Amino acid sequence: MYEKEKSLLMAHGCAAATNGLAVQRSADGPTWVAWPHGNQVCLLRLDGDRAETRTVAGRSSDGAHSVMQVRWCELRGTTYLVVAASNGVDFYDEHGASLLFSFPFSQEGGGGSFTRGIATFLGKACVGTSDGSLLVFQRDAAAGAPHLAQRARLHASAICALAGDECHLVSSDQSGNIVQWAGKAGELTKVRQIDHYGSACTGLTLTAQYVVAVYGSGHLRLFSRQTGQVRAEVTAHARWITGLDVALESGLLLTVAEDASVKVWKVSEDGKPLTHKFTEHEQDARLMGGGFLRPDGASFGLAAYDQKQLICYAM
Amino acid sequence: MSLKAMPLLFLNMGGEMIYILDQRLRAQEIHQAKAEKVLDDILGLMCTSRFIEELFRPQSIYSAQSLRTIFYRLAHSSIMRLNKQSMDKLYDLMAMVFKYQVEQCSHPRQLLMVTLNHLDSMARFATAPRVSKQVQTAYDLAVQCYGNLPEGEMQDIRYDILNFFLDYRVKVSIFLKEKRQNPSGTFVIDVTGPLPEGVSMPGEIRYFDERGEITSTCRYPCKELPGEPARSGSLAQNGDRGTTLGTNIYSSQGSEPVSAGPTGSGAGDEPPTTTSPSPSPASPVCGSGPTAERAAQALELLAQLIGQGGQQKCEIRLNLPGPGAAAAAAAAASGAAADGSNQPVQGTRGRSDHLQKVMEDMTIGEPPASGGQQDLLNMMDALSE
Repeated sequence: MYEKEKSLLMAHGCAAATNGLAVQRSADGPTWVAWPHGNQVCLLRLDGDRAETRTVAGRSSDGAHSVMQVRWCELRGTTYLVVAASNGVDFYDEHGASLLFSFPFSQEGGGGSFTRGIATFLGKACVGTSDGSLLVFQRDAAAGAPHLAQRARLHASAICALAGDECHLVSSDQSGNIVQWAGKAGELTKVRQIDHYGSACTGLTLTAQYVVAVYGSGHLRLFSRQTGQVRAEVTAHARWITGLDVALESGLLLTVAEDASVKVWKVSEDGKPLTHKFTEHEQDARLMGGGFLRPDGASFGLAAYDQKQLICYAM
Repeated sequence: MSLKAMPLLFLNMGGEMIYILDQRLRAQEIHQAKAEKVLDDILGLMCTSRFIEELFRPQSIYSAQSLRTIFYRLAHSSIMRLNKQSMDKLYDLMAMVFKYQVEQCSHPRQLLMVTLNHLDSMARFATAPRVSKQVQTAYDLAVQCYGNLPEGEMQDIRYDILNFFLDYRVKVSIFLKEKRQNPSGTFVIDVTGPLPEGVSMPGEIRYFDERGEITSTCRYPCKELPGEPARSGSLAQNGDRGTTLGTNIYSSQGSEPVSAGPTGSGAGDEPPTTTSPSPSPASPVCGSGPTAERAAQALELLAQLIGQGGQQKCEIRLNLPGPGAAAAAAAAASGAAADGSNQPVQGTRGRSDHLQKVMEDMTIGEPPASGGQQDLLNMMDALSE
């Protein structure tokens, strides 16, 4: 289904971070890829055959802080590069040239302090934290800077992943619980909780009918968005799943894990919810993220811990 | 970032240090009583209750530079001395072997098993009853702190440690020989072992209806070989951990030298990198901030503890050879110093003024003229300025 292509070289190796790879894709413009490296963000701009790299220095030069995750979020027509770091959330312009807004975060207690999980929902950027909160950032006017609008606290353990579309936001935590949210009068309100299965829920995404979740136990599960009921359960990987992405145009789903394998699945909105399409093993690559490089899922990239190569596959 | 990673980083790297020193002491045929004293002195200091308590306080990981300085001091706290190159190689070996172990963990909880394997071995190396007791205390504290930690939190700790070692890539001869490391420096990933607890064999899809009843199952093609379920690692001393990660990889080496560093040209997509001379951009050296203060406090405490025993006279010169080192090892065993250098070990790269002054004040090889205690007091004064 997919053939391996020439790998692309980023400026630095990918950090150990679940869902480490971020992709900003468009049907006809350049594709941007990003991953964390220490307290920096490595960027790659892919335009046809041309690839150029860039590094965004973190806000803090203190080596004690690091970037956990990056994502692109659009707030009121402006796209930001949102960086979830161990000391707070930073908003850069779309391609990381300048830091526009920072929200420091620290948590008391011995567990550790960080922000992780980024998603766009109803024109707002939502970021998870180590104390189980969701920070909701918005812009009030076209010319305004982002600011914190709401802090929703429902999870009892650290947030692992967030995903959002026009109807729902979903959040998952280290205990494996998932919360489905709706937006009412501009605020997040809980719709339901999907209980855990004994393992951290490390990745989330949404299709038209399903909440798609992946776990540290290597399982992939599809839950009905209407009822929260599990509709499909897959023993997908032999190790901790570290990446999940969906290409909505084609219904293709991508999972990567620490077992050095990448798998592609097809989600159907009628008939069998999920079928397996493709598996490949990446030799000696401790995969930390994966993402489709095109909206139709015809190509994808993989990130591996401590390796500079963006591993590419295409149909 | 996790505030619980520091004890695991220190105890595991310390355990590797003991393995390597033991191997070199045997290779150089050092008298058994002296070898035991060296290991007891270092273990005793590593596991001193005050130091262990400081270690287990919630804190960020120290900078690479601070950690290197702590191990340099530990290695020189007894009657043994190493020259600068050997000290660098020792640290590189400790770091790369532990990095390998952390990366290979099939499940976050296995990181605790690796630590307990190290602590089991440290207990076996301890000779004096006082030291055995100290190692036992460290063991109990590790079980208490990490035994019931949720897997997600343990994974955060594991990733913090992996990120501490990000960009750190040194070729280790024993790993290259055993095909655990590629010529490019990347580690070989082996996923053929037992499945971790809670993980099912890949290959099955189950479908459910709206009431949650299974309607059908099917299999999909899977390249994974069937693996037996993992044995749940035991927390008991010398228990079955379910993994050999953390056990002594040098115990079958005998007197064969182990080495770290470039071993000749290697095929690979990228040139091998040795990053020991300078920290990676991901962890820039910082002379200020709460983490650096904590590291300085730990160093100060270590200086106090070393000072309490009095600076010991050098009786053993240990060397860690590079490639083709059999001749060097033989020369060392015959009593000749591996090199006649009395160069002090530079534990820093000059980026932290405080730590630099501390290391310059340390006399390596020659007993200080004014007595160990006074020099260490001066050191502590310098740190507290």
